[in-house]
Amino acid sequence: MTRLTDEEVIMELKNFKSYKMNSNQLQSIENELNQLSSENTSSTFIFRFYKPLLSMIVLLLFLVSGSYFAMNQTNENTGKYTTGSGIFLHGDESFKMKNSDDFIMKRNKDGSMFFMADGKKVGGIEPLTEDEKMKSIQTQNPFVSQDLEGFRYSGTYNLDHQKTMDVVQIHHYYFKSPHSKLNYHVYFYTPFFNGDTAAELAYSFKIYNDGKLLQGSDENWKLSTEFATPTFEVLVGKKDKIGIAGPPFIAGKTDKFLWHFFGSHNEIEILTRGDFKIMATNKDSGEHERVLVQNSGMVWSYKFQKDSPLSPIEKVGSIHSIPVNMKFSNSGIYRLDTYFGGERFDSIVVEVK
Amino acid sequence: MKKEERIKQWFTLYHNDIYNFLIYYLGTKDVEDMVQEAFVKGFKYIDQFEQRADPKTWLISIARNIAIDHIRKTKRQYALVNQLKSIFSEKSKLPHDWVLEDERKKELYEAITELKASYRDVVILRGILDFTPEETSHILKWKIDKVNLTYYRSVQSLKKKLTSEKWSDYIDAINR
Repeated sequence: MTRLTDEEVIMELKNFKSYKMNSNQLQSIENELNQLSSENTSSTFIFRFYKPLLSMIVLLLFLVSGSYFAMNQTNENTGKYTTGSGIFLHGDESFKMKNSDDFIMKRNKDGSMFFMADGKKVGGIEPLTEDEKMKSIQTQNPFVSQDLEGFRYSGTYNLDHQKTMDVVQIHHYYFKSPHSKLNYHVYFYTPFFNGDTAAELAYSFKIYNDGKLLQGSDENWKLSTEFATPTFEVLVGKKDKIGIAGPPFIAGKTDKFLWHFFGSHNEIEILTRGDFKIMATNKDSGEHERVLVQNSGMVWSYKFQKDSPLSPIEKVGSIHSIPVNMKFSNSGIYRLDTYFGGERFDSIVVEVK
Repeated sequence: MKKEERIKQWFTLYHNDIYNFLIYYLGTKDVEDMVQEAFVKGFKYIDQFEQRADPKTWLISIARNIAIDHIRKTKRQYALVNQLKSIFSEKSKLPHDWVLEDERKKELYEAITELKASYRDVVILRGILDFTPEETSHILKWKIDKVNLTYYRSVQSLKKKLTSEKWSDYIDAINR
């Protein structure tokens, strides 16, 4: 059987019929092309680039949302801590309290602190936000709740009845930081602490910003003004509340002074509580100092029996007056807080030369 | 020259080339819509057309893409129908809406449709439509060497297929 040669096959291929479109078909396509020509000129650019444009827009969208997300994340790092410990750990504040041999202070990772004695927790310090402070107060059974007075920082004091196995009461101090939004919750469990030891430690609580001691609100440090009594004697203090008479305050020199207390029923109730205590606070150092002199030694307080009779000086108009010897160790601004039987009466601010 | 004028000029010049290519590529005479589509597409993408290139081969390559799309679509649409058909009649591979003038050509064309795709491409372009190797290489985006080699092989493959009586008689007639 013979086969075709390559040339013959190729010849056969080339001999296929060539078709021609008829004039109707040609005309219809030409018409179609005429229409296209007029309408499509302007849109060709957009049409050709709409796919890359679309993907560019989508990419941009991803980029923008991605970077927005990233920026939000970094913002949170600087300013959006919502918990007290978060703000504290990433802030520039620190706190200190007087050391005691009776218990050890254990720092925790979240910035808070526990007071430990014999392996038991007897109190602590924790930084809180305003909300957290409110929550903390809500869990208590407050026996006493009052604004802090005579402390370096403003805040709240609560006495809380717990009645658990180990704890009878808790003394809560909430100190408001003058620098940040933080509240420092300092708490002491009874019976390990009592009201006095708790208060004494609470007085020593100090907040530092970048290592610098933060002063409390300046209102606590406004120098007391002078006022005159009906006897034309000039007192330093608060008219109709508290005043002190004596020579100018000079550092290192012991002088006699006379404290006058004014008021009515409520004040009498405090004045009759017992021991008279003066806590002097140096504005610069923040230290609490003893200024009362007794038997040539410095003491915190003079002993008075509870409900002992008051000694008013009617000429001056006071309901109670106490003569004292006082000595200031340093010059500067001092705030003198007065207490009767542990209950605070009022304070004056004086300048010691 | 403006785009629309250019495409019209191309249409007048090359419409029959496109028409014949599509007929032989698809095996049907019902290709006017695709001829139109090829020129519409050509107009849309005329900015991408390189000035040095030959508009004829460029338009043919567009038409070829359209035809491939068309085959893909119809394959999907008629896959089931064709399967059913092939059960009843094994022969009906050629569309019946066009008739080649003689039996030999019909058989040759049938042999071409049985070739693999690359052979069929080159046989239709180089053989039936008589494009030069350069033109074919532009349309298929092949190198000229590849065009020539593939064409040679596809001719060998066609020779093997054309062994029936009719061809033998015909060959005898020529050789005698």
